[in-house]
Amino acid sequence: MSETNMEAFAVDPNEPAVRNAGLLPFVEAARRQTPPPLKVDAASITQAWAQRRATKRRTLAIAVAAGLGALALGGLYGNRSTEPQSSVTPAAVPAVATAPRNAPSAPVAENVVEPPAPELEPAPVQLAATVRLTGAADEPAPQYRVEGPYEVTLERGTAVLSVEDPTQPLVVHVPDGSLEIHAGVTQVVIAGDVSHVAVLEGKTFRITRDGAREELAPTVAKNDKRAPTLESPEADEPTAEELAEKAEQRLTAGDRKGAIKHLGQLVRKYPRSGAARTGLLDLARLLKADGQKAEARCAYQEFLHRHPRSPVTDEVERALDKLGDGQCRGLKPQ
Amino acid sequence: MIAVALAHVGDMDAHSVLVAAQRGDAAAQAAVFDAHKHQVAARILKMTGDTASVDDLVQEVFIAAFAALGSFRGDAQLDTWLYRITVNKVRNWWDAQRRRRKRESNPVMTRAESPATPEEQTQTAEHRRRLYDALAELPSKYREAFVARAIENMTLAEASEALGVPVSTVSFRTRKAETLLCQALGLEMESGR
Repeated sequence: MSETNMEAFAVDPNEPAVRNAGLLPFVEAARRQTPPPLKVDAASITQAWAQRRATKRRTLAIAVAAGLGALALGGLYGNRSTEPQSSVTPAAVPAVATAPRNAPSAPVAENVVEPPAPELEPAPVQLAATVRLTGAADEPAPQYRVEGPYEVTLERGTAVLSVEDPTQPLVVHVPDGSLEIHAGVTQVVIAGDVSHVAVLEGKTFRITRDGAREELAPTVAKNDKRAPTLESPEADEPTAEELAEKAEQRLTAGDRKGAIKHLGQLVRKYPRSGAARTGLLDLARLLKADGQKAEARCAYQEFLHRHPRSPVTDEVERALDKLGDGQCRGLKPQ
Repeated sequence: MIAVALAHVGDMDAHSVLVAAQRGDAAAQAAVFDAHKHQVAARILKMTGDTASVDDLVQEVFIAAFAALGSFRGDAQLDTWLYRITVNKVRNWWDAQRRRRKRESNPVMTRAESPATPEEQTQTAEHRRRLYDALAELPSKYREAFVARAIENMTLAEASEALGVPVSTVSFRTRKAETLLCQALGLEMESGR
């Protein structure tokens, strides 16, 4: 009997869910599972929700700019540039107030009412896979305590903290307050009761003990160029942010290939930067829109390789499926 | 069992909490999350059998729920609505697992197990692993019906409401899933069914 013609089939409302006695031990084993203590909390979900919405709006803006730019060039790319950007459509963006891009998210946490809901057991204390804490060459080794997957207390020494996931900022407690590293790489030196912070890539906020919050400017060298980063020993080279900005400028001007070139440099030179994360997705979409499907596939695969726990994994998987099979070595098709 | 449990925040009633959560009010979203998080986590685990994915999927479910609260009109219970979101997210998760295994040419899924007693480790855990490996090969609609009826222990009517399909469809899909699972697990098919 097929599913389409079974409506007339008489169903006993009390029929057992499992009829085969041999299957029951398997089902019982599945029923007896105990969920692990949840590491995710309401504040992080609210924050991720707001940031994802902001990211979607930015992606939409890029898509619109690309479309307008292509149209302005005489329709050379007009038809293809209207390709839907993943699942992002105007209708998919909730029409409610939201924080602007990169807006501080601390007020969200302040409003959260945390009822006493004890977990089943203490969560294992280790940093998330998207967070890295290392020492710096020729500097005192850092002494620190991991408070949670996205929370650490620095006690002394020099630490280099790298955060890959812009939706999950790392909170760093230091003697004179705390820091929020939203994405990128930041170096923190603890000297007695004072912390010295150098933002090498991405965005970092300092929250003082009285609650004041300020975004820290990226470290700038004396010659007014960006300081060398962990991934960019050459100070003369453009930073990740500069490459991302150039790509957006090329898109706005309708120069898709120019944007692809800058995004390619961004994701190759600064693979761990926050800009590279979104840049890699933008690169994949632009390559696809440009008809370079094999390269687009490699960019999507590279994204999954670099960010296996990303919240947009499902969307990327779906995009990848549409592009079919193929082998890649990094960003290059084989 | 499907039951509505929505925490109140101060003097706000359930409707006000939902409206505030829809607007992005963090306290209201926290109330919705806290009222439902454990139930959603338990369901995800029963649907996937993978403790390592529970946190990510819980987050996905609630982010999707907050983004789509505007479409929740109260015709269904919030709990049922969350169940459907969970089913969709878990379906994507199974699809991704399948694609990943195909890409990596690895037919065996690595599954993080819950802490278990030695007895469980020798038998229950093995049963669980084999069942979820077999469930991975089922079409989504059969797997979802079987999980709702057999593992979540829902009645036909409850599973029908939760999955949004007629009772007869739930019955058919559950039986079909059972047949396929028995074949995959090497169990003898019992007569008289």
